[in-house]
Order: sequence, then C-alpha cells, then structure tokens
Amino acid sequence: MGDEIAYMLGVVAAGFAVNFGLRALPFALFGGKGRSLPKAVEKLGAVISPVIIACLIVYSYASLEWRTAAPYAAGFVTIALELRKKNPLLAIIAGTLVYMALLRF
Amino acid sequence: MEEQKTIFRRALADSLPVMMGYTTMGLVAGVLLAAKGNLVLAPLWGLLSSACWITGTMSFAFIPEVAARSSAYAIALMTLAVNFRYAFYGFSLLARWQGVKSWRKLYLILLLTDENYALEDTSPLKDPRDHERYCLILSALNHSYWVSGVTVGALLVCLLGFAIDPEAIRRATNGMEFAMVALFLVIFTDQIKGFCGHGR
Repeated sequence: MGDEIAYMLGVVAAGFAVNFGLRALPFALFGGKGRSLPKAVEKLGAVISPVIIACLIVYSYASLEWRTAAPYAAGFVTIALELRKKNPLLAIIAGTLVYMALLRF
Repeated sequence: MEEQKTIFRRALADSLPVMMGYTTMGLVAGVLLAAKGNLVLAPLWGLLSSACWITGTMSFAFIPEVAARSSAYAIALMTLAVNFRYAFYGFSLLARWQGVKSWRKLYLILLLTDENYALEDTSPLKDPRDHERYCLILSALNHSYWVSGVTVGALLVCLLGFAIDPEAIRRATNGMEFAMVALFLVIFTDQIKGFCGHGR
C-alpha cells in the first residue's frame, strides 16, 4: 500500500507538471505584468482560435466511428439546427441523440 | 458590467453540454481505471489524477501504463506527446486575461481543457472583469463534473466489484462523447458565421 501511494504521488505530480506546464507556456513567455504583447503574438492570438477549433473537430472525429456515416449525419443535424434555431444546447443534444441512435442501429 | 447572476446563468448554461460529456466520459474512465489499473486505491487515483490533470485523453491512456507500473517519467513523456496542443491555447487568451490576479489566473490556466478553451475564447463578454468571472465559474463547474465522473466511476467498481461490467457501462454510454464534438461544431459554426457576417 505504501508503495502504491508513493507511486501514485509520483505519477500524479508528473502528469500535473506536464499538463500545467503546457497550458502555462504562452503565459510564461508573454504574460509578464505590465509587459505589452509583441504585435506578432497579438495577431497569432486573433487568428489561431478558429484554426484550433477546426483541429479539435478533426481530432475528435478520429476518436468517433468515423468510418461510418453516423458522425457525419449527427454533425449535419447539429450544424443545421444551430444555424436555424440558434440554440446551442438544443443542437448539441439533438446531434448527440442522433449519433447514439445511429450507433445502435 | 453585467450582473453576477446573469454571468452565473450564462456559465451554467454553457457548461451543460460539457456536463453531458465530462460526467459520462469521466465515469467510463473511472470504471476502467479501477477495473484495469491493477490498483488497490483506485478511487484515490481517480480523484487525484482527475482533479490535478483535467485531461480526458490521458485519463484513458495512462491506465495500461499504470497497470504495467511504468515510471512516472515515462508517463510524463507520454502526456507531453498526447497533450502538446495545450501549449497553443493560451495565445488567444493572453490579452483578455492580462488583468486576472495570480491564483485565479493559475486556476484558469490549469483548467484550460479543450472545452473550456473553446467556450472561454469565443465568449462574447466584452468587459474583462465579466469575462474573468465567467471563466472562473465555468472552469469550476466543468472541473466538478469531471472529478465527480471519474471518482464515482472508480468507487462504483471498488464497492460493487464484479457486479459492474466495464463493457456494459461503455456500451450504455457509447456515443455520449459526441456531445463534445457537437460543442466544437456549434462554436465553429458561430465563428464562421461571425467571419462571414459583420466580423467578431
């Protein structure tokens, strides 16, 4: 038990250090008090966000059943509902239900 | 400045799709951790790792490593490879978070998951103080969903032992993970609409 606790603390600390370190990197580099951001960094910040979100979509599709039609049909429903009704929660719940239903077909 | 209550409601509403994903994904991760991790203290592992890491991918990926008793160093390297994308999220929040004070900022940074990032970065709140409060509430809510999902999952297996079939739970919740993808799709749709219309 003592061994397991020591091992656990080591693993948790290691994972914490890497996850937090990665997330803190931009702030460590450019987030100093009273320092103004370099123009290039400011520009990067403005354009990077849709790119990241697009990557997240591709990345998360890869962990779905992407060889079947299910995630694409569900994605279509989600986007269509969001455009029509402008209700994110409705679009997300409907899309998820479609996906779950298609998986069980 | 918006009223405290309005901001809380906004954060709560935005967190609901995340709740769908975090609680179910967390539950499955916790169940697998306890069932496959070869651990005595699985619920404690679940509690600590989910509270300190807040990363879905690694919460699944580290289970076989722990079962094989890989070194903490090896797990750190694996985390670096799997989660390298996190290093880019801060860039678009640098300016908006410039006025956030030390501990709060560290908490917001620690909680920069895919979902928190996507919501916080695209939040329309203009006033930095409103945005800060929104981010703090959203982070705390999503943090609590994730930690309770993982911990409850691990506890279930520990308490009920063989009555819990990890495969059955996985099958029952199969597809719930689409909530996260749908969240990104909705955010991306709104971003594109913003670009095509009158800009952000």
